[in-house]
Amino acid sequence: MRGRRAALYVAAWALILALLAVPLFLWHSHGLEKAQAPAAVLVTLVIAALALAGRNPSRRVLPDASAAPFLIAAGLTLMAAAWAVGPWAAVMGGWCVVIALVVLARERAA
Amino acid sequence: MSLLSPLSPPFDEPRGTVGAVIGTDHKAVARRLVAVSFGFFLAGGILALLMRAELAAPGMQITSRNGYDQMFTMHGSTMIYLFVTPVAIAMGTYLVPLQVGAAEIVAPRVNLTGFWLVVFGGATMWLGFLTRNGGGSAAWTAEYPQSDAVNTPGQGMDLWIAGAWLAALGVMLLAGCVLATIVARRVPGMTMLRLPIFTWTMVVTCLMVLTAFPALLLALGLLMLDRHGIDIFKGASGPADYQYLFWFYGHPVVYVMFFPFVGAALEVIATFSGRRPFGYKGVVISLLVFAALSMSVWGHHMFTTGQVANGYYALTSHLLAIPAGLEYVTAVGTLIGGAIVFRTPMLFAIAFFLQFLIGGLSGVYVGSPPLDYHAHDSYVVVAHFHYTLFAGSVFGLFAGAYYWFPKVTGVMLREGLGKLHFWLLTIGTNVTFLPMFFLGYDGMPRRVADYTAADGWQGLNTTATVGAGIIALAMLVFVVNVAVSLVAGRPAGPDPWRAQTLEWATASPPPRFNFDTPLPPVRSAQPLLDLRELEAIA
Repeated sequence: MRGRRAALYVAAWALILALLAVPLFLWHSHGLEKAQAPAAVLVTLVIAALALAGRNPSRRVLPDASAAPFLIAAGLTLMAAAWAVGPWAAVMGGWCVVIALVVLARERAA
Repeated sequence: MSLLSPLSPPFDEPRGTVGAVIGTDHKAVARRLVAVSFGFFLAGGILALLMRAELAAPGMQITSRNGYDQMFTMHGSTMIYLFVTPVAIAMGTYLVPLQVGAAEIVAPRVNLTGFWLVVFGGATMWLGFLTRNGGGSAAWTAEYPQSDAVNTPGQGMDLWIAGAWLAALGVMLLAGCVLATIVARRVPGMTMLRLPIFTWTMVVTCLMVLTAFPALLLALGLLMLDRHGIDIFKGASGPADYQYLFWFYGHPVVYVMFFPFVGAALEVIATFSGRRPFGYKGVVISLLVFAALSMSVWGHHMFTTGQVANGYYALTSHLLAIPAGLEYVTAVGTLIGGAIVFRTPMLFAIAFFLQFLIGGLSGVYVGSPPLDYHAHDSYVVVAHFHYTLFAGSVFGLFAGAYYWFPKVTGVMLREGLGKLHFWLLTIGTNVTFLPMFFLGYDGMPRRVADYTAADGWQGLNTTATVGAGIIALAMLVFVVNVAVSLVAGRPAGPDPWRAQTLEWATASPPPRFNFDTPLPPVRSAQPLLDLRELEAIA
């Protein structure tokens, strides 16, 4: 119920975005310029759909601590920095992400 | 009790260094993000002081031209990617679950990942200074071809791109968690039209982050490929293509750095006027329209390129005045007839609206293509965006900081030091940025390291440099205030301001799962005010 009402507002925002994008199509404008507003509308509609599909919250165990986020972020950082410092960083980053996924799986199984 | 109460036995919150790395409590994550962002703010501020020192007089005194390019690039990048945007989302990360009556944020692990991406992104960006060619030096926009491998060679620029990419991704994850919490974790009774105004500003902020930031990720990803030999933006339309992608992020982010502080300022004004916010539903509608319009004005940054529909973007840019005006009506309407108390948060909130007006009105000027052709790339633009982002958003941030500091820490900030901070910052801000309008009018271009004595710009530049020093002094007072208050502050209690929203219905600081006592019934966006009014009637 809560998600449905929130989805309505998100969808309303998508509608306003779409209405504002219409005149851009009537004006002389570039292809990429025209493509971005519809893409944003699409993303917003996906968010509205997710809000609509969201389950009602139930009582469940919340993680108090997790090492996986740190490892995933470190892994992504090394992979991104590999463009500057060399492929070794991408390999190390990949290992960090693999370890993070293992940690995550163990946390969820516990 | 809120919906997601902890199962028994309660968890032990991890403490110390390990806790700082892996703890998932949204309040701890937000506190850490605020601390890290503030650290970047100080670092970016030091770069600003160095730039102002360089510009105080003609001639190159303290750095080279390339050094100056790196300074203004890293100053702007730090302030936007690593300070104002993350700190705006951090406020939502801390406050939104409390304001909607939730015990936790949705997806706390994702939230923590977002935090670490911002931290690592910032570190990556700043590591560029240690490389042979120095840090990024193609401005915070990294416009093409200035940012290509020929014009800005070296690892520093690559690290800048990687850092900005990671920080933006981190902010997207944080925003997704905040929005999902608003959608799915509201306490019974809290309908969308009973959300506190700050939470509503976070709704539109998060929507903008999730729809606009992917364009930045795409632009920077393609730029990295281009720098490493894959021709993406080479060719006649390449520079414009990069700008289409960048500014689709680049303008909405200005509002991501604005809306949360509008929310903070309006909540402060309502509390210190002892009244409900005037025209609540009008604010909600105006926020939705405001946010959608601000996604539709980005082309005004490209007026002078001749590559966008200038008429369309001039129209949408000027339409912004309508929802912006409604926010002002709400602020003034709340003040009228209120029992106004001028505590430090209230001073910052009022200054936020007054000073942002200067930024907004100069926006009307640069939002008109014929006028923008004159002002483009001059100090008029520098003055305009500093009046919106510093004189506006940063003042809104401090309104929120003084208002919610007691909730976050459990102690009050010193009122005397707060007012000293306010007046020094107000004077410093206007002494720094007002002369820049005149410098721009006189023709001083932005992003230059030097000028000649014959240009006649020294007096105004020296004035701006003195103003920057006053801002630094103001920030020192704030740091001292925080330190003194944390060591020997007066205990705040749950609700030191007689505030209106649910975060004040719990202890200060709130417990691990936010609410240990039953929440008051939610029949409006101001449940604590409802409660006090009912008690007064009884």
